[in-house]
Amino acid sequence: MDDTLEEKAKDFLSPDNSYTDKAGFESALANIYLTIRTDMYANSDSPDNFDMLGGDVDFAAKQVSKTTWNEYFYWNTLNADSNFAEKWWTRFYNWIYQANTIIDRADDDGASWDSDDDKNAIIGEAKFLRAWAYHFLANMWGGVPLVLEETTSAKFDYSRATQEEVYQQCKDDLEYAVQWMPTVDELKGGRAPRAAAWHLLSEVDICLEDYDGAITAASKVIDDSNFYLMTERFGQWTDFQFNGYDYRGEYETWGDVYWDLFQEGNMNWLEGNHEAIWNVEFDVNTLGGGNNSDGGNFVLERWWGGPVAWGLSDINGVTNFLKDTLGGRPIGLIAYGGSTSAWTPVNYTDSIIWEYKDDWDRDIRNSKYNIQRTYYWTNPASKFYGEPITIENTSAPSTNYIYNPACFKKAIPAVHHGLFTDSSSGQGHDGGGIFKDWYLMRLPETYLLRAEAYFRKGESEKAAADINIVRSRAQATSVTAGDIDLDLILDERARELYMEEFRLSTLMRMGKLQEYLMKYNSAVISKSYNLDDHINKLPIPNSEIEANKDAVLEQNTGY
Amino acid sequence: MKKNHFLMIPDFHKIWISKLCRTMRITFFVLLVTVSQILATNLYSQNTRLSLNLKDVEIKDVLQEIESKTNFFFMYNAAQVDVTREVNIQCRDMLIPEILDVLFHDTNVVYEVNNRQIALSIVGGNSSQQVVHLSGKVTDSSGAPLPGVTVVVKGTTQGIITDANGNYSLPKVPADAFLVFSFVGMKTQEIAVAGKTAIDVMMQEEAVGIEEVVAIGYGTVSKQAVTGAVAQAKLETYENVATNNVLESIKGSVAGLNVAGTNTAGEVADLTIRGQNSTAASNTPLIVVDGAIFNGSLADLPTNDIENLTVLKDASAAAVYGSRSANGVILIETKQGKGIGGKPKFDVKMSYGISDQLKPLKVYDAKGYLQRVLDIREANGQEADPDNIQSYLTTIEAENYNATSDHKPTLSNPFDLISRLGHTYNATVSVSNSTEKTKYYISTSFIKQKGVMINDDFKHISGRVNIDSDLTNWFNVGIKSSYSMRDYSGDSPTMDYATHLSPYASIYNEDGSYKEFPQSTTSVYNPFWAIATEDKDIRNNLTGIITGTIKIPWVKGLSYQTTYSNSVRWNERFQFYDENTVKGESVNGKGYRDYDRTYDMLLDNMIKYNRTFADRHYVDVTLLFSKEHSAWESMEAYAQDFNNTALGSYALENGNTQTVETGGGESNAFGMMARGTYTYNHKYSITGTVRRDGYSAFSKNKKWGVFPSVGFNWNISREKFMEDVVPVNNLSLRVSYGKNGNQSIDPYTTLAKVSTDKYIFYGDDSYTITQYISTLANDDLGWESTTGLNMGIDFTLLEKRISGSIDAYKTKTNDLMFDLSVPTISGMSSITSNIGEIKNKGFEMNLHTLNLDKGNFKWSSDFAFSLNRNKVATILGEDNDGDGKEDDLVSDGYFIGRSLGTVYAYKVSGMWQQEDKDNGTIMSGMRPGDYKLEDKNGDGAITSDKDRQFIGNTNPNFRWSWTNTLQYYDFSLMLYFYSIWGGNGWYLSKTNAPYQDGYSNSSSVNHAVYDYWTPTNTNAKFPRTDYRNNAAYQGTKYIDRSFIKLQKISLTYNATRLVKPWGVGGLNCSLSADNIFTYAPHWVGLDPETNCGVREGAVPSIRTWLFSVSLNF
Repeated sequence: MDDTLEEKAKDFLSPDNSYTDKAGFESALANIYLTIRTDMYANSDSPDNFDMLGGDVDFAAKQVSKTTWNEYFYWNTLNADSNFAEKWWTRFYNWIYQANTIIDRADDDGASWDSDDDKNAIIGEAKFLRAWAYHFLANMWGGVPLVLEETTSAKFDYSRATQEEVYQQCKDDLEYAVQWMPTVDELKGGRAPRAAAWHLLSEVDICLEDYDGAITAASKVIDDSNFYLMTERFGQWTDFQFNGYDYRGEYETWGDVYWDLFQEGNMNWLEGNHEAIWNVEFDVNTLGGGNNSDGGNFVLERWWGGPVAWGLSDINGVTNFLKDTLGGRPIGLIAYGGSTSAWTPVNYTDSIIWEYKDDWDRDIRNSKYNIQRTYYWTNPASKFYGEPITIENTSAPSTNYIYNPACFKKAIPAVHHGLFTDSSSGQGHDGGGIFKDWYLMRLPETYLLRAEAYFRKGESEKAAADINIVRSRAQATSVTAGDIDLDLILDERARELYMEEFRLSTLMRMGKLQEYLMKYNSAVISKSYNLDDHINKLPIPNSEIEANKDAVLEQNTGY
Repeated sequence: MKKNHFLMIPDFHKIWISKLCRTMRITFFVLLVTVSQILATNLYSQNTRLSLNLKDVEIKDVLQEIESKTNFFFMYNAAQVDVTREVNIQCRDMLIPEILDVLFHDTNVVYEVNNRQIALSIVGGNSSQQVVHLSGKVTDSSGAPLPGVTVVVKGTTQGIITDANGNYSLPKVPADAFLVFSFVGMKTQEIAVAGKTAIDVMMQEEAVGIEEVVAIGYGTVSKQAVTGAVAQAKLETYENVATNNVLESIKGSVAGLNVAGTNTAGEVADLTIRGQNSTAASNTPLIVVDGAIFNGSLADLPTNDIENLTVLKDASAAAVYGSRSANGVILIETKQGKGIGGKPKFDVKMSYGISDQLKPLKVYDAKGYLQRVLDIREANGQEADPDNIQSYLTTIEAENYNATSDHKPTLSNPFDLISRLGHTYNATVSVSNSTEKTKYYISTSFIKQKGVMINDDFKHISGRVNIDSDLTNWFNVGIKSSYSMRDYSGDSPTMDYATHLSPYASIYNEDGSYKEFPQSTTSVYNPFWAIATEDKDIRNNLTGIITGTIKIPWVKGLSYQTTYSNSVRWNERFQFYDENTVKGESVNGKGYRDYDRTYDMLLDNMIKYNRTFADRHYVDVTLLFSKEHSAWESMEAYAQDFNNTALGSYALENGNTQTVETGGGESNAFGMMARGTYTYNHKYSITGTVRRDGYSAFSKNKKWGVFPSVGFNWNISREKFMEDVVPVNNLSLRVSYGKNGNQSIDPYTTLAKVSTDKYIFYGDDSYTITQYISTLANDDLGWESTTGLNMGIDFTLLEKRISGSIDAYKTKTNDLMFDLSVPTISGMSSITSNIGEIKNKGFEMNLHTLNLDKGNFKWSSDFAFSLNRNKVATILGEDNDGDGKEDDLVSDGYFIGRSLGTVYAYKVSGMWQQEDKDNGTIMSGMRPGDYKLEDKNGDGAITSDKDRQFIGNTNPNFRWSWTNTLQYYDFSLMLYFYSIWGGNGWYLSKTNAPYQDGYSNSSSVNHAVYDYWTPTNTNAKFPRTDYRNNAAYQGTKYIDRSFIKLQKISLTYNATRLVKPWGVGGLNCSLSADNIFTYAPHWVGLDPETNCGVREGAVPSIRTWLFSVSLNF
């Protein structure tokens, strides 16, 4: 009878028969990449999808009317019940669990390897991913519990390590990773190459105040012949012709090199983009290519793509058209009601950073190709067809007028797949979904990390040189050693990496979050919040403290 | 000796046999006694033979002698009956009636036997009165003629027994006399002659009686020997009213059996017995049909096929099912053959009904909608000028608004688009017969129900063949097979989409097709765009049960019984969404076909021994070995991206993207059970049970469990000292104690599991299958066990005017399967463990009363009341905060010493108002119109660790139901009230919060009408429209769900009398209504029973009006 009662799984694998060879471990690694894609970009159809990218920090705010912004984080009452803190804490530790499983089981007797190199490369990649998760935790929470082994049974007595111990663990993992991970030319797109580990090691070394280490690590990427900044137009869209945002002008060759960097088909190293260190992969209507079978939830265009020009009516009640070329289907600054407010650029990203050194018209990152600030009537039936949308010619301007905030064209593909058809214009659109391979790490950030290390080490000349490499590609005016401070580095990050870098993590790492919120965040300013600097670190989720019943998890101060 | 003259009985012996046969059949059909038990219980009392040898004794001494040697007892008025007369009597092995004949030969004393009671009286009668010659026919409740019924003129000994056709004829009956009709197993009836010459009587089965036999699992026992809490549902209450499934018929009829409300066609209600024992595991009772554990849906069994439904509520009663009985057991027996005088009996029942919404959800009409637009804008700090309203509307809305000068809305009520009048058709036909050796019952039934929303359709087709045959006099074989097909095909538009429609929406395009976005905003789809192009949902169940019983000829009372049950359940689920649907649009159509099949096998081997020794020692032993096996397979094919969607799910190969998912598994279980019952002289009974179970789904270290129980029954009314307590007809006391298990854990959950997904890397042609460990291995997860004490009283009082039972119980459940939250630092969020203890206690009462019984008018009621309290006794048993008391497990919502439904949350103490803002007392982050949450520690902020408090409980305080049956001539009226009551913080719900649905602050999305705060409506029940979006601290106001519901009314006319001349055995017509009216003084929303608030998507309950006809011949 006991034999009959023994269970043998029929339709699922067990760890014992699935973590046994290279293919199995690569599947396990692939799952971490999938989890990162879901967690960071494609989890939900809401602005929350992109809350690590600077939404409601200093980049953007949830604007509901000309003068009203709603805070996403409730900065002045942020506490241990914060959904944000709980969500990301859980996600990072989940990546760590998956990485630990790979690291432990790769060395197990149950795993067979053709060579030690194969095994070490897998372990290296897993350690890189683990370090990536831990560096976010250290940046955003400080010292957190260090879990380095696969969880096999429930545990309730976690305690916090120091922030330095966490960074040191990242460094240990990365030093292993940079020895064994494959290089970018050996990999498929979407997997992190060895350069990603050097890049991350550079940031971790800065945190450990080992600036020489940081400089060396960054240089490993910068000096790698596989990587260089794209200075000329490249890729599939160099011949793209467009007749302007009013859709009425002469067709002209459209775009510049910065614009090329963000077009579908151009974003991967394997597509000839030598700035791309590490991407997350999306493909339209392809199994494994999106978050769900309906086409994925990568909806950067929808929630951060600018105002809803397509939703307006002119004073005669003629509806504007949604255009499938460079128009997109954003819902930022909602015209109707106020419930679904998306991210709208704050003054900082809309104008302040572009005014630096009078570069407004010079810096190609602020070119008409990359940021749109004027919107047009696009319905031929409108009396104003082809004219800019203004307060005077818009129906109910006090409600629906869009104030011409910036629309970042990074988020919007030149031409859409046309998965949906707009009922008024008959044109195709993708419902706000995009299918580009977004950047997780891009070479300009490596330069800016090295610049930060040089600056912190006291070598501002070298820092200026690195920053100028990035700026000169953008045709922006050079900076001098005297210009360099952390704010300049943060501004340059904003100019080059907006919507790419994990801005919240960066500001928290530098201890600048509170200052930048007070200076730039529309909701905080308009509501006159007086924020304390304890918000430079997030609270440990209350649910974690409660579940960790056999030991005390110290809360961060101020919560 | 004179010829006896008091009972004009042609052949005493024959009548006894006839009566016996009748008794056997009725008892068999109604109560499902096995042949052996009939021998044990009925033959004993009525076939008792006695030998006497007494000289010069008074008659009363003879009577005493008979009483002491048998179970008979005598009742007589000593002033009338001369019992002091001295007699000599000498007899050998004579039946009691024969002895009485001898004893009262040549006297005016007559006797009447009623069960074990023998009444002696004097032949009387006032000869000067007017007399009539009376005749008539007696039938049973199904209209079949009833032979052998005793018909006596009240107060006299004049009487007769009905003949084989149920006819009787009585000459010279006083015109003002009353006739008494009595028959074993039937209720005795008294009817006034009132000058009539013909009186037909329909006898009703007796519900409560000393002879009642009760199913207890793996056998039956006489009611008097029942030691646990066992209750039979009164199915006859709804006999003439069509129901969609048996749950409707038993709702409220058994105290402690809780049947939830439903609101869609064919929906099967949730069912629980007593309180909640388990948190992670199921709380659903085990269902046993015809002796075999049943894994299908109760809706597979048509109500008409069910003869009898018994609920085993306590540990000792349920213990025979050991590991899976912790949530109680429901035993169902389907009908057996039953004929009319050897001829087949046909039963036909048909009904037709219409349904509407009990309380429809109201959304804003044009006026309210426009006002709400302004209110929302104002709440969000936007311009809100009533004169500028059209500019706040969406393009389509504005167009429609401006289309007429009086701004006539395009939709007066959006629900008109998707709702309809519901219909129900119900038909059942059965034929059955019983011959000497063989019985059969064949039935088929058909239900078609159209819900109150379009496409909410349900069809049920079922068939059953039950055959039972004595192949030899020691070998009986029974086969019970059934097939059921439930068809839920049809995709209803979600209520949500309809709730969102603006009064100024345009549903159609100019070409008549459905407009995708009826009011411009892409937040609101046309409800018709949400409906699947193709939707098929069919659930089949084919079951066959074979039972073989062998009476071992050389050992009296020993038998072997085997039950072998096979059942196959298979489901077909297809859906397709073409390019003109919300789901299919972006992927060029998508669809799937899903097939799954489950096979269940059960083999029970039983040895039974039961025998009565020396007339008073009754022994019953059952030994069981049982094996169960279940196996399932599933397959789903999915495709999307079609060049042509015309063929839908019939040609998924035309999709450019295809996936296939397959699955399967099995589970196995063994059980060994021994049960022994000993009864002494029908007065004292003791039952002991032990069962050992093994189940494959448990972890490798915990496969087996042992579950013992014991119970006693003391029939107090049979004690000598109770003889003089006349008001008490029957009184017995039960006590039981035992342990049950809960094995409702899904197979394979204790194994470590690797799950897979897909990710496509650049440079690859196809995706990589990813893998991760989704479940940790759990080597120590085992049985939950519930140990319980039950005490009960069964009573019949005041000449059976009042009968019922009262039970009180206390249980504790240990080793709960508990999803324990673990810090997510581990990478896991919870793990299932056996920890903690939950205690339940409760009180239940079932009361049957005959309130009024006057001539042709009769009023009887059934009242059921139940109350259950549970509390968490311990969870982890840890005290980390050092307060000397075990710590609560706040993360999972478990609080030591408190109920499982405890609400621990912020308390909404009011609403912040403008004055609070003006005088600066308003809390930071809050605005006028936000709920004021109680700041318990007064730190000026609301935090979950410091400001939550105990608000109350989501469990009911108590439940009751009250069924009234009024009979007047051939009419009967049934009224059934049902109530769940809270009060004082009980039965709270938060799911009715209309401001939590995500659209309360969307001015272009319509919403259920609710009372929200505005600067001019400061006394509102609910907060400002943007509360959910913009308030720093948010709480929910809990609302009491207490209600009393008039659940059913039925008016039945028994037209048998009218149709009899055409050879029809019985005809009943009834008009009934279900779910008629609900009184809920505190609730805000639709039906409190289904917990529907005023949120989007709240589905109204269905109210049904039904006309039924049942006919037999």
